[in-house]
Amino acid sequence: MKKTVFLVMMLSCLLFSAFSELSLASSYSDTERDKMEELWKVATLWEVGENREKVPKAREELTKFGAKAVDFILTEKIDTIDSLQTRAIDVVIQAIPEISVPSLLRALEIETRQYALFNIIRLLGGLKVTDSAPKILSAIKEGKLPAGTPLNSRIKRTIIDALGTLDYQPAIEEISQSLKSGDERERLIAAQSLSRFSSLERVEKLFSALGDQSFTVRMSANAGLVNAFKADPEAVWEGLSEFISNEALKGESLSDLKSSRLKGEVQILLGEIGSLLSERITSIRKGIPIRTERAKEILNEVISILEQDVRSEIWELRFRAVEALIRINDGRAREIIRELKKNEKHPLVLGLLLKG
Amino acid sequence: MQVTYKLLILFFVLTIPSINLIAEAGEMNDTQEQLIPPPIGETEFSLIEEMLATGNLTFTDLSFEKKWADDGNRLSVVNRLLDYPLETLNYIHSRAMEVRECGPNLPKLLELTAEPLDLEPPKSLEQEKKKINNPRELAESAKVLIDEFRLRLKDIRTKAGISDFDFRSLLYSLPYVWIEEEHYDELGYGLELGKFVLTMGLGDEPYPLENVPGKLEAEEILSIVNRISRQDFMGVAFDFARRTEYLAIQAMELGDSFELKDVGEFIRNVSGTVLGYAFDKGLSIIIGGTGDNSYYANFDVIIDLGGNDKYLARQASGINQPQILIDLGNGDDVYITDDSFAFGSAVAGLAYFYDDGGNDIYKGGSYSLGSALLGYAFFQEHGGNDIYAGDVHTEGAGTFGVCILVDENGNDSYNAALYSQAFGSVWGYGLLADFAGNDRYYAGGKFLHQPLYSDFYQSLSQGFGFGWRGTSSGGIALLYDRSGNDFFETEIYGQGSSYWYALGMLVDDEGNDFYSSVHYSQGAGIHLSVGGLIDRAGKDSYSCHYGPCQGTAHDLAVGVLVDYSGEDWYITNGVGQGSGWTNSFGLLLDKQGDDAYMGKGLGYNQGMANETRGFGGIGLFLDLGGKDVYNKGAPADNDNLWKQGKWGFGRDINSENKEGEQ
Repeated sequence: MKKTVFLVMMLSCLLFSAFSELSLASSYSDTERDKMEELWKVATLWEVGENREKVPKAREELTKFGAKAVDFILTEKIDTIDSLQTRAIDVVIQAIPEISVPSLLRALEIETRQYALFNIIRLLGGLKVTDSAPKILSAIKEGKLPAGTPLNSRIKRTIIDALGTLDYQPAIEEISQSLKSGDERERLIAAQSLSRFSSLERVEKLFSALGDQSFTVRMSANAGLVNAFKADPEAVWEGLSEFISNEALKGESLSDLKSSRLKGEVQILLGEIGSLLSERITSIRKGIPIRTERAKEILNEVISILEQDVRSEIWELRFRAVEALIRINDGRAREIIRELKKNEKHPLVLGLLLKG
Repeated sequence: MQVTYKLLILFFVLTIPSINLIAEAGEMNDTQEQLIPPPIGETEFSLIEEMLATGNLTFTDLSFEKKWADDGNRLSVVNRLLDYPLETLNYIHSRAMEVRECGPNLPKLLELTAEPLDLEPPKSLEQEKKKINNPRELAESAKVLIDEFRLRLKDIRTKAGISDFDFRSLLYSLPYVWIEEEHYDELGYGLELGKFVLTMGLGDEPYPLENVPGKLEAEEILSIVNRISRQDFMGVAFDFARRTEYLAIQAMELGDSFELKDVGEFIRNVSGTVLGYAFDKGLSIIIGGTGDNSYYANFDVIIDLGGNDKYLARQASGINQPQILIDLGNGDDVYITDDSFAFGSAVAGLAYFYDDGGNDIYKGGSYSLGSALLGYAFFQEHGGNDIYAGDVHTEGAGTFGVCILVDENGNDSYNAALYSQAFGSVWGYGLLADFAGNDRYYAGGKFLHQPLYSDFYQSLSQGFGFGWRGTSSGGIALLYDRSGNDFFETEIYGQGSSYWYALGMLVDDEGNDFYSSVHYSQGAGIHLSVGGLIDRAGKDSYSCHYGPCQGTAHDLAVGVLVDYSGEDWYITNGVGQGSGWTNSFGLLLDKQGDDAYMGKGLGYNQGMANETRGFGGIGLFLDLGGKDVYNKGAPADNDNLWKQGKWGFGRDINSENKEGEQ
């Protein structure tokens, strides 16, 4: 009899653990839940003033519950967009990746709640769980999540963001499609995501975002390209100089707004690049990875492009070109600025030259 | 696209007319017709366009997406101004000009709130204009009016399909919206406000307090409130205001013409001469005489024809009903009660309060002195140096409805704790219009802004729009002060600012004014919201201890400030003076005068924008004339253009221009 009872108990345990694996059934007792709930209330307070000490402490205490805390969060707390809640979720989940990552991957398969999925994908990206990349990329392609939840714009943006963090190369083409989206936030996240990829393929895609109608997207693309240049200056310059020679940037007519935006953004980019090169040439600090001679050559090319712009009839082009030259601040750039001071009439450009 | 946008902006700028204003004697100019141009005219438009162009920006870029969060009950004007922030100042200008032109006409002022609240202006129906010949007829007319509007209020509820149980739950829960339970003890209310409202609101059908339903959550309150036709409710309120106004006019004529006699009967809770009364079906109407009276209880209607009177109970308190208080003559009256919901307070109801003049003293609890909480409250003070002392949600506060407080004359002092002095929340509009006098506005001193500060208090007042973060967009608030040297004092949140998909506005037309605050004020939009301040004249002082302030916004928001003229001082310790903080748009525009700008946090003021979420905001600072002083180390200077961050722009021009020169 005892043997039978024992066998039944064993079987029950096995069944329970198997079920838990599949369904994320709670692994904590009511008492443990009450305690975690109590800690959660403090862990999700605004961490200012007198809360500065108690909030991190509550999160730390919660983390000590290990798998139970992860289970508690994924079951009861994950379906939120409240920023105080998501901050607490992030701290606890990221503190114990060895426990939380398998649970997050499981949850990705079965979860259907919208905000929960948003948080799960965000966390998988943040924790750099590359195993999740194919699954979430296919969600964009198929328009639905693994458990069948339709893809909404919030989750789509989260996926785009995560794929960049994960540096998942097969996603670059898909993400670059989002640069054409009518949703500014999707374009913005796509530009930021592309900036995080390591492949040079991203550079060409980011160029196209420099003419975006919103400065938020242009700024993100620009920052991405500056970072790309810092990592691989010669290759990025090669792409950029080819891009600059494109038809869209040749003319000086500002009638086409996209061209003018693009031109302006390229001027800003040239100022940044030129400044990095100038610093590389003159500073003893280890700068961007490029030989000095090559750096000088590229800088010369950069200044030559800007020199054409300072002779433009359009004051805005002159202004931004002067600003870029001031930023570069090498001998030739200074010489050009000196010359310009003699003839410049536009008060804003002249004011800038005099300050420069 | 760019051309289209430009045309749109120009159209907007040029179609807002300069308002023709006949200056009042002794104010601006005796005979000269004055023009007040909109803040952003062609000159400002061109200058801003140039500034933007230096950073490869156009007007289109100002429309960067700021509506990152979804919720309900969004007003279209909030969306519009978040999308087109450069329109904000001109929008506020035109709203204030409407109020100025309208003057103390309550029904007309109510009409003005319709469009911003996405409603049609209520239609004026021909009203019966029956001549009232004696106090008895006056009491009868008041009774008829109250009877009718009780029914019309009930119809609104019936049409919305709100069950008795839901309605009771709602009545019980509404006061909790702005006073959290944890504050009850410290406020010393004794009786829970919800129970109070429930008992008062269902006075003719007593409801046992032990059966009080549970407190509703915000979403539950919204689900009930959103069933009510806001359009119908406004229509009823409009009729109520017009009819009551007519009643007041008749009472005035009666006071002037009739040989008034005391009814010669003892009326409980009233001392002094009583000229007429009506008590019927739970209604209580009192017509007080021209001598001094005291009123010790709540009546549905009190019309007092003169004298220095005392009102010592919760009156003009429309809790699930209409109530009226009209005090005529120029007596120095006292309105004092510790009760909440007094003197122009509507909760699921209508309230009308009118005082004809004199130096009056007002003291009420929360939801008093002009408060609409799912209702419409009208409060009009004709003149005199008045003192207002309220608590929470008072002095021109509207949530799920409209509150209009008008004070026409005198040096007034407004005191409140929180959510007051032109405060608008969900589906609400709070308007405080003070047309003359040197006034003082103070809000704060009761609720510490913990956990952030243990030494500064919350205000959320003085042209403050407020939404329920993550749940519902907020409403609209306008504090309009036409003349006088005024003091505006708040601590945390106030003075033409807002939080969460709302619009807060403060406009001061004349006088040397003092704006003092601690945090989030003076033309500040905070968290996906829009705030603006316009000061049109005088030597003004703006001081804000921490910022964001003075034409600055934080977190996907819009904050704007314009000062038309005078030697002004701007001081802040934090982010301010035309800054777009955390992906926002900020603009400070000072048109004339030798000004002084002090920003303690170098690099955080006078046209700056920082970068968060991987992108920036846009901050613009523009001083159009006068020899100005900037703090040492700042990039700002006379006749200069400067940049801070990538998209913070400052510009100072015409330093040699004297005041009044172009």
